[in-house]
Amino acid sequence: MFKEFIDALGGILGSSGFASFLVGDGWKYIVMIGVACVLLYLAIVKKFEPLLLLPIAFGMLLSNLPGANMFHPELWISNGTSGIDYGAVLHDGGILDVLYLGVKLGVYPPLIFLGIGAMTDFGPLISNPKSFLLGAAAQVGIFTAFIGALALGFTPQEAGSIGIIGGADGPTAIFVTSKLSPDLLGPIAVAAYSYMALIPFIQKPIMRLLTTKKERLVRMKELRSVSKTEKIIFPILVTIVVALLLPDAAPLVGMLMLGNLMKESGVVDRICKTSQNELMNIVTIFLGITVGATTNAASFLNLKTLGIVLMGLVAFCISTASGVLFGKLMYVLTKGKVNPLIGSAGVSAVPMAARVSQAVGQEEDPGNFLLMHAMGPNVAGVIGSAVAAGVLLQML
Amino acid sequence: MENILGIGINVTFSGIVIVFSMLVLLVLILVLFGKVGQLLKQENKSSSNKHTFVKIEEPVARPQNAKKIVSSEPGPEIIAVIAAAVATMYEGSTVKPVIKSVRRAGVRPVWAAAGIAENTRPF
Repeated sequence: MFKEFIDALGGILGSSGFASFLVGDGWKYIVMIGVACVLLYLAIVKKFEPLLLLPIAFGMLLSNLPGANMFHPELWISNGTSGIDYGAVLHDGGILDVLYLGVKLGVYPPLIFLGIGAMTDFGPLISNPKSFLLGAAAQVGIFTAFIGALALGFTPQEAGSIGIIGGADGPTAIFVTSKLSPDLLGPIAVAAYSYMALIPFIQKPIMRLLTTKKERLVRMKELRSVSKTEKIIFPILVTIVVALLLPDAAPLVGMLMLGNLMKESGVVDRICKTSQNELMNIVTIFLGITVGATTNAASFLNLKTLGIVLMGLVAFCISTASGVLFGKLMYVLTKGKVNPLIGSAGVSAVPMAARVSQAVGQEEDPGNFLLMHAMGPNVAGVIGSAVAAGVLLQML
Repeated sequence: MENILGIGINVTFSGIVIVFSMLVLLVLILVLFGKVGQLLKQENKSSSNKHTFVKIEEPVARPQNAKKIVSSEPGPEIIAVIAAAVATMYEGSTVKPVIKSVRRAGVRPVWAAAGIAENTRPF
């Protein structure tokens, strides 16, 4: 009787997830569970991008529990010419496999862009179109990190996905990576969102280093008011120009501008509010949890992840620096009318990067309000990184 | 290795040039768009001026204290309110406050400045 009981207990323990920790590379699961717990701590206690970091971390936890079978990386391996067997995914996959279809097919990032567009005011950019240049300058980091990643031995497709981290735009990074190098989706998404959460810590020292006190003290002229007609025509115009010239950027820019048109037209309040809230929140949950699920031990715990984290940081720093340096150039050309601090907002993390410009400006002069001026390059950065993504997708 | 370097330089150079050209094009379109908007606004203004009938009003005698009313100096009521507020603050204290002068603190009204500071507080 007692022996049978012990055998049954042994059988249960042998088939449980705990037993898998002791077999082969099972220790890697323990490490990944630890990483997931650290990310959960950062999201809950430190409040680092909790809206995304929390589902990402929990997705990571779920997919690294041996035996839970919620995500099956083997189903997503392309079988030569026939590609991925989507029938098998639906038949044999777990809930996270089914949700991952939205990432794999490039559905979630454009939907997030729809919500972002519905929440964004392009007024500061329309009233000061030169802000677009700062949004372009801050994309230099993407291409510099691309070269750096190639030098570290990554393939051009992987290097493009790593470089896009410098755009400081999570959905764009996921969109590009899911097309170019899906195997790296987990580490790249985690790196992109981690650096976005660390924006104040990364950008401030670079901004202070590259600017003089005199430049930081510049008070910019008040922006002109923008008419409703201008705000309505803007998204239509940008969509036509960008989608015709760079079709690969159309899914992101098109959805961003659709959301914005819904907001500015004022005739579809109900669906505009849905895009801003319910739709955006639902997609954020699906995107976060499935991206987290792709970070299984085998694909995450290797030297490539270290390279991604390193080059992602390089991309971010260079993007910030190039934005500030271009801001300095504009300061010189306009004879001191542009505060170079708004250049760092050209990376597209809205509105965090603009808030950093405001914070650094107010450290020198508490009466200086740079926020609205920085919002111009900030939203230009969203368009700029989507264009850069289109370029990478087209060329690689 | 040379091939990889070639790809790197090609993508980087083309990428930066394409991103800049695309956004410069958008700048030009927006500037043009803004100018057309301003022209249309001016035209609308001038056409509406043409059709406006000028109303001739009877001359009205200007009151003698008109200059005082439009003056930016605080009026006696405002000074009384400020004095009352100061007196309330010092109520029960042995200190007897004396108001020697009242003047505006700055161009931006204090509540407007407080509102802007509140709305743009970064972190």
